This record gives sequence, C-alpha cells and structure tokens, in this order.
Amino acid sequence: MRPAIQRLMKGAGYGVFVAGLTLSLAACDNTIEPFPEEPDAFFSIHGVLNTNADTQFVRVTPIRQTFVLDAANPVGITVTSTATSSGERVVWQDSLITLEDGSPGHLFFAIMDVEGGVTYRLDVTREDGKTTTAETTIPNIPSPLVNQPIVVDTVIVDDTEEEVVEQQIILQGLNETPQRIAMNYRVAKSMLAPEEEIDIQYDPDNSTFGKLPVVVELTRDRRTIASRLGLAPNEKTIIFKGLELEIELWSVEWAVPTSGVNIQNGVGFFGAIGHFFPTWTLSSDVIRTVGYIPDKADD
Amino acid sequence: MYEQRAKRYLNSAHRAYTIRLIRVPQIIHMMQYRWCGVVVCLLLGFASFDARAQFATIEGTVHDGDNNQTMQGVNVLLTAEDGDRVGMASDASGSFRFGRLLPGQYVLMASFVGYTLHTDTLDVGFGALVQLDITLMPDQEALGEVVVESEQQTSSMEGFAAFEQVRASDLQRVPMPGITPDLAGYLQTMPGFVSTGDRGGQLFVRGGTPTQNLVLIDGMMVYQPFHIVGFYSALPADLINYADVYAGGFGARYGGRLSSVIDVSTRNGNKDRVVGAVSIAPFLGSVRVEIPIEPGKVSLIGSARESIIERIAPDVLGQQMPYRFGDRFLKFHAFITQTSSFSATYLETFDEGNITGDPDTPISTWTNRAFGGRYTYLPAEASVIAELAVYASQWDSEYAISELQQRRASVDNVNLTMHFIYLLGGDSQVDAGIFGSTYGFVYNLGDRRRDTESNIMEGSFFIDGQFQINPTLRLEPSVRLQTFSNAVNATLAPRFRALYRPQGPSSTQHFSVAWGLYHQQIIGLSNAQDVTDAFIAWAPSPENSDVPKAMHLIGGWKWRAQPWLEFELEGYYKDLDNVYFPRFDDLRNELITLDQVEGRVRGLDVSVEVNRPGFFAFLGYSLSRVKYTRDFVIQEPRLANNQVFLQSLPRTETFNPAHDRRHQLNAMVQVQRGPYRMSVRWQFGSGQPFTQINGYYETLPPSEPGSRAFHEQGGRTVISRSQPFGQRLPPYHRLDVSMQRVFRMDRFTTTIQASVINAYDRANIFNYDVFTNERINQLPLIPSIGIHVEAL
Repeated sequence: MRPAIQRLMKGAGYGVFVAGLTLSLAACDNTIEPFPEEPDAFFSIHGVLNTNADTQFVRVTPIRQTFVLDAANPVGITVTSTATSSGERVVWQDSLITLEDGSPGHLFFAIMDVEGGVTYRLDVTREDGKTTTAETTIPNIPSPLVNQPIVVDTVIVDDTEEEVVEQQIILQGLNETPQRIAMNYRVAKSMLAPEEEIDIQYDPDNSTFGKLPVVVELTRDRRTIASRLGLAPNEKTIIFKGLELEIELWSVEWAVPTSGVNIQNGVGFFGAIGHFFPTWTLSSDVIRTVGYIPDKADD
Repeated sequence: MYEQRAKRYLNSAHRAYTIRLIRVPQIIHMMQYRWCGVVVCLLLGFASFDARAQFATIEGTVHDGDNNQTMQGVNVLLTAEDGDRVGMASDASGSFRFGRLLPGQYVLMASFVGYTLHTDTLDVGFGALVQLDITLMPDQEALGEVVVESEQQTSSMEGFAAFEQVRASDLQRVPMPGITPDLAGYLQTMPGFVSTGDRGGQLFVRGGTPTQNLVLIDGMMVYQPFHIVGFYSALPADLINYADVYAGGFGARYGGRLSSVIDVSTRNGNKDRVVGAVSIAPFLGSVRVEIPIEPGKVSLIGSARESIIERIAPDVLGQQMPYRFGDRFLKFHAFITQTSSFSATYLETFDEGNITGDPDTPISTWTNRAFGGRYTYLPAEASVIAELAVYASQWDSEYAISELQQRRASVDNVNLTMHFIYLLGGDSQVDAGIFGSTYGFVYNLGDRRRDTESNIMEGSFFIDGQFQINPTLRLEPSVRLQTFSNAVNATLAPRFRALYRPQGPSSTQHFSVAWGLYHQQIIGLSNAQDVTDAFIAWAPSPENSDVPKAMHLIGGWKWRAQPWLEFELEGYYKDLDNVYFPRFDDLRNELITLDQVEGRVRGLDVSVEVNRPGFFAFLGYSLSRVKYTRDFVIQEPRLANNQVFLQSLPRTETFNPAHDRRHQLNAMVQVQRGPYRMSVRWQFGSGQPFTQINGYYETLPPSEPGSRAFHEQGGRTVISRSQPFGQRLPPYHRLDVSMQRVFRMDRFTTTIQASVINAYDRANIFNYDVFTNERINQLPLIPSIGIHVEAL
C-alpha cells in the first residue's frame, strides 16, 4: 500500500475515533434530578388541637414537585390521630375549602374532644405509605385549691364604709405558664334582667414551680362589672349568678412556632391549646359582703 | 535572578501605612508590631551603607532591538576570572543587577531564545558601578517558533509547588471565541482551577471561593477581575507582561486572602515609535495604542475593549445574549534616571447583564476602578532595592432582584507601600515591606434597611527570606503580621517554601514543598448556592471574632524527562477555619445568616506537557475533594419546672459545597505550520454538588391560637430543601477549536481567526432554578471569526 494511502487511512481512523468519542460524549447523561428519589418530607401540616372545641382541624398540603398548586384533591391521603396513652385512634375527614385567595385547601377535621395532659400523634399518610408524623401534648388540667374569701381592708365610698373582699385560688399541677387568666362572672342588672357574662383579665405572670396563686379581687371586680353594665361603681343591686376562672395554656410548640421540631418527615406547625374553667361557689354572706344580691337560686 | 523576584515583590505590594488618625491605644497596639519593621528597615539601611563601601556592582537594562521594548526574562550570566558564575533573568522592566562583586574581570552574556547572544568583557574596579544598556537583536532564523519560549526557565520560582508564571504567549494556546486570547481562558485550563462556566466570572482555586483569590494588576487590587462572560478577564492579553499565579502556598509578601494569588504585571508602552492594534470579533472589539512621549525614556500605553455580542447575537446567533462589558487601561512609564523609574496605571472595567441570559431575570452590574503610581529606586552603590507605591481601588456592584429590591455594595481602598529588597549575593535575598491601607465598605442586602457602612484601616509588615543554601537546596521562610484599627484580631502568619533539585540548576527533577498560615480579614459575602447571583458584599470580619484562616500544605514533583517533555505532580491539603457560608431561607433569595464553617480540601494535580517546535500538547487532571463542616444549634422547646424553655441542641452538618468538582480534565493541543496555527481544547469536569428539594408547599405565618389563618389563608409558596448539596449536576465537557492565519506586511501583522466554541454543542448546565423548574444551559455552539491588525 502506498504511503499516501496509509496516511489517509490512518487519518481516517483518527477521524472515526474522534467522531465516535464526540458522539458518545454528546450522548452521555445530561439530566438533572432536582427532586430526590427518597425525599425526607411529604406534607406540610398546620393545625391546633383545642380543648375548648368539639371539632379539631388541621390543614394538610402535600409537598409537591410543581411550583403552582394544582392538586385540588389530594386523593389517597389518610389522616389519623392517636392518643398515645390510651391508643384511641380517630380517622379524620377531608373537606375541600376555598381559601381567601381563591385557591383550594384541604382541611381535615375530626369530631373529638381532646383532653388535658394527653399526647396526640397525628399521622398523615400517602397512598404509598409515606407518612408525616406530628406530635403534641395538650397542657395539663390544673387543679384549683380554693381558699376562703377574706376581708382585707375597709374603705369609705360615698360616705359609706365598705369592706374589700379577696379570695385566693391556687392552681396546682401547671406545666406551662398560662397565656390568659380571666374571671368570668355571670350577673344580671336585676332579677328580671337577662343573665350576662362579664370577664375580667388577670395577670398570668405570677406562677412559680407548678403553682399559680390567683388573688381574685371580688370587690374590685364588682365595681368593674357595675361600670360595664352602665351602673354607678358603687351600685349594689347587681344580681350575682356565678363565677369561674378561665385559664388558657399553650403547648410548648408555640415557643418557637417556626421550628417544626415536633414534625417528622414534614414541615409546618402542629400545637395545642388547653382551655380550663375551674369553678366554685360563694356563700350568700360573702356575695352580700362583696356588694351583690344573691340570685334566688342560691338562697 | 533574585532581582527579578524582587521586582515581583514590588509589583505585588498593595498594603500601606495608614494616614488616618487613630486612637492612641490602637497606635500603641499597632506600634507593638510596627517597631519590628522600623528596626529591620534601619538595619537594611546600615547594611547597605556597609556594602557600598566594599563591593562593586554591575547593572543594566536589556532592550529588544526590534522595537526597543525592555525585555523581561533575558538570561544574564556573569562569569568571574576564577570561573565562578552567577546568573539571573532580567525583570519586568528589563533590568538586572549583580551586586557585592569583588574587583576583577568578568564576562557577561545575555541570551534569549529567538535573539542573538550578547557578550561583553568588563573590568570592574574596587567599589565601581558599571551600568550597561544591552540591545538584543532578533535572530531571524529562530523567529516564528514562539512556542519554544516556554522552555525558558526565567523565574527563580520555577519548580516551586503551586506556582506558574504565565506569559502572554502561553495565553494564545487556548481557543477563545474571538481573536484575542485572555488570561481568564487560560486559568480555566490550569489544574485545580474551577469556574462556574462561561458567564458570571467566578473562579474557584483548589477548593477556595472566588472571594478568597487575591488578584493584582500592577499591584492594584481588583475585586471582581473577570467579566460577566467568563472567557474574559479585566485585562486584554496583549497588555500582560507576565502573571504570577499561585494556587496556594504563597509567600508572606501576599496577604489578606486564603486561597490563591494572581499577580499580573503589565508591560510598558513602546518607547521608540507609535504602535497599536485593532481587533474585532463577535464577542468583543478592542483597540490599543502605544506612544513614546520621550523616545527611549517615557511611554504611554492605552487600551479599550467593548463588548459587541449583545448587539449582534440576536441576528447572528439567533438568540439573546444580554451581556455588556468592557474595560479601559492606561499606563504611563518613565525612566527618570538610569537607576529609577516611575509608572502610573489606570484600569476601569464594567459589566452588566442577565447572567442567566434571560432578560426577565435579575440584572447584575459591577465596575472596578483602580489607579496608582509606583516609584522604583535602585541605589547605584547599594545592595538594596527600594520602592514606594500608592494605589487606590474602587468597586461597585448591584444586583436588582426586583424594582423594589436591589442589593448594593461598594468598596473603596487606598494602599501605601514601602518595600525593600536586600540582596545577599548569589541567589539569596531578604525582602521586607510595610503596608498600610484604608478601607471603606458600604452594602445593602436589599432588605430595605439602611446601608451598612464601615471604615477600617490596616497595617501590615512582612519579612521574606530567600536563601540558596547550596546549588541543590533553596529555602524561603517568611512571616507576615497584620493589624487592624477596629477590634478585628491581629494575625501573625508564618510560611515556608523549599525547593530541592538533586543535580542543582541543571536538574531535570524538582521536589518542592510549601506550608503556610493565611488569614483573610476582609471577607466577601456571596450567595454560594445560586450561581446566577454574582453579587458580593465585602465587609470586615466581624469584630472580636476569629478571622477566616487557612493552612496550606503542598508537595510537588516536576520531572523534565526530555527537553520537550515534562511531568508534574502536586498534592495539596488545605485546612480552613471560620469561613463564612450563607444559610438561606426557603424563600427565593432570602439569606438568613452567614454561618462560620470549617473546611478540608484535599487534592492531587497531575499534568504532562509536550513542547516541541510547532507542536504543543498539555494534559492535566485534577482530583479534588472539598468538605465543609457546619456546627449549628437548633432550639427545641421543652418543659421544666412550670416553664417552657428553649433547649439548645448542637448539630453538625457535613457537605461538599457547590464548587467541589471532584474530577477535572483539561487537554490542549496546538499545532503551528508556518503562518497557520490550530488550537484545540477539551475540558471535562465532573458534576458539582447542588441541593435537591423535596418540593413546594404553602407556609402560613404563626398566628394567635384564636386566629383562623389555617382555615382561610392561602399562604406563601416555599420550598422544602433536602440534604444540603446532596446531589450532583451532570458532568461538564466542551470542545473548543480555533484556527488562525497570520499575514505579515512591513510593520503590520494581520491575524484572522476562526473558532468554534462548544464544537459538539454540549448542553452543559449553568443553573437550575428550583422555583421555576427552569434549566439554564451554558453557551451553545458558537462559531466566530475575528480579525486583529497590529502595527509593530
């Protein structure tokens, strides 16, 4: 074979090699996988368990692979709650709602009461079994220790001597600092007037080591109630029908609501609120001393 | 040879005394360190006085007989009567000096490839000063073999680990989308250098980040030295005399950066006649003019470049390329006397565009301005070289996320430098320098807060010994001290380099090692996750916190198996501490905070180079592993004693950041036949890490328990991120080819070049936008043709 032809064939061989290499490189995998094969988060959940409600709600949104929300109906999602102490399991119902911005939302609900001190686990499960789990503990029910009302002072009001009555209530078994404490009074302007509920806020920041002493200022509250009813502060014709203490406790998740540390394989917020209403009675003598007229039922 | 090195020190000097008034305790604090510099300077002065009384000196300048330009890198050999020889290479200004000579007769030879040999016999008397003006004439037979030039070992740093001196002729090996070569394109072929792609202008060196690179142009600091189209740096190649590139392990003359140094020295204008060049290509047009203001003594060189691509791309390439960029350069140089010179330099760059190429995406803009003057004095009788330099740099950057949200940042700094080189004779010397700088920082991260402003000043001192212990062993211990006017901690950084050549200067094998501590007090805060965001906010390191620091350990072996065949192997380890790394919210571009992370970088660079007349080939492979460790604390609410408290739980996260390119391969071939030259480059890089997302969801603001937000509000769409940097992008590879033909006619040289970038149209990914599921690729196949006309 002539050298020129040999060189030509050699050159052609290099050319074929380079072309093959180029084609193989151009054809090699060039895709990007923005989503992991095994994601570590499946749902966002936003919800609060409330002891003051007989129906509980939680909003569930699947973590999806499209930026635009297009899944109006997340078929195949199962939401259950389980009281970890008793094992009682409740299956929640789905409801499709329209949100303020017109987008669809899935609000799951369960008709159930939740109890103080109980830990509830919420499982949101896809059809393929992937589950987001959240857990929250309802604040403990405090037990009130009711002391006898006492006269702490005597003051002169409108040339009349008036005794100032207070009563100390000690709330025991608190785990959380109350977010709200209020006295709820049931009163009426007269015997024939309808019953009204009036609540008076108290400072919740006096608790120490699981105990919260609440000093109920009965005489001061009576003046406040008279004002709210449009009566003179010293008016003593108000009918007293009853009282209760309202305490609102938030679960620990509210301390850092964005942390989501109680949610496994998911994101969002899941917490609890405990509303408790310890109540007691006052004797007719105490009611009169405070400046009310006892309700007939109490006589 | 030592004088060339000394010159490089002078070129790189960028720190200075501060002129600003400072508080007395700070002065005392700084003086505790500065007295060392004063004492050293005094000692140098006394020593030089002593030297002046005893020794003779031979010094001079080498010029190119063709254009009267000074010539750098000319081998100058001095042989004494007893046969002792000492050699050196001329420096950037063409100067050389042999000091501390005893009286007697010497033979001086000056040689450079492509030029005729110059020989002179000199009789030197006691204490004499012999000044020479040498002109080398081109050897016509050797012309045209430009590539052979690289075989010259012109730098005494040659053979040191992590160092390469890049010359203008080296840059021509890399195919570019235009007629003019560029340092940026060349750097991307160097082992251990990783770029974000063909736009954005970000360069990562051996595991470091772009803000950890020190880039100097004639000693002036340039904060963002690459253009928005990543092929181009702030300076055209035909202005570059040489660039000293340190991938790590640099000596104490450089400071303030953790990763690398790119120290560019520009050339002076022609002092004999007016010359110039014009070029035009699809990406860029440029013009250069050199004017001798006073023939033989004073010259001016100016250059301007301006992008064209944004105007012609829609018609020529059929796609939008919204990148506008350019630069201006002006340099004045004068030989004041035979032993002193002065130069003044001005540089300006500008960049603007949508880095993604999509006109609807945010616009990035940045500008660099730098100017300065340098006075160099070589006392006639002394063995000391002195230099005084003043530089000022300004940098502004904006990133417009939206009309309402714009990030802005700027830096102003002024540097004053005093630098002394004490020549010990042979190839040994001691360098010392004092630097002072003032910095003014302003930045606004677009969160509608007021601008953050801070002003600091910095003083530093270094001493750098370079000792040729014997023909086989060279040791370079050095130390750098830096202090600050605010509460940023002062730092002391010892460094050490050694070079062992078993057979002395003629040895075909070099073994070298470098070790050093490095600190970076001025930090660049950047978005390390989104490569389309080139925004950087410079700021001083937070007060009373440990500054970012690094330890480099590098070992290298180089073997010139044949005069035309060279192998090189380098291994390195970097230990990084207190490096700032951004942490992002799940909202778009929402920076939560900057974490301090620790890093470990390990790597191995291997290369082989064939350099024969008319043929050059290079193959380089880099293996690298960058690992960051982030310690952070999460706060988990707990109940105890009737109180909710936040328990701090320490967590550790380990990941490979986005610039961890594990494997990189660079292959280049250049063939020259007569006036034709063909260059081919192929690059391969394994995929870089990125953070996958679990998906999108709507988040609702935490609300009061009584609120019905959960029931009613739609919420904001955010992303749920998966493990940080847990997945890798597809590999990157690209083939670039260029062919050029040179026409010579009298004083004019015309070069026509045709090139193809991304020859097989590989769709290399540039960025993936998780919010839009949009993939943005790097530049497609781009053919181009350019013309360059030069008047010599």
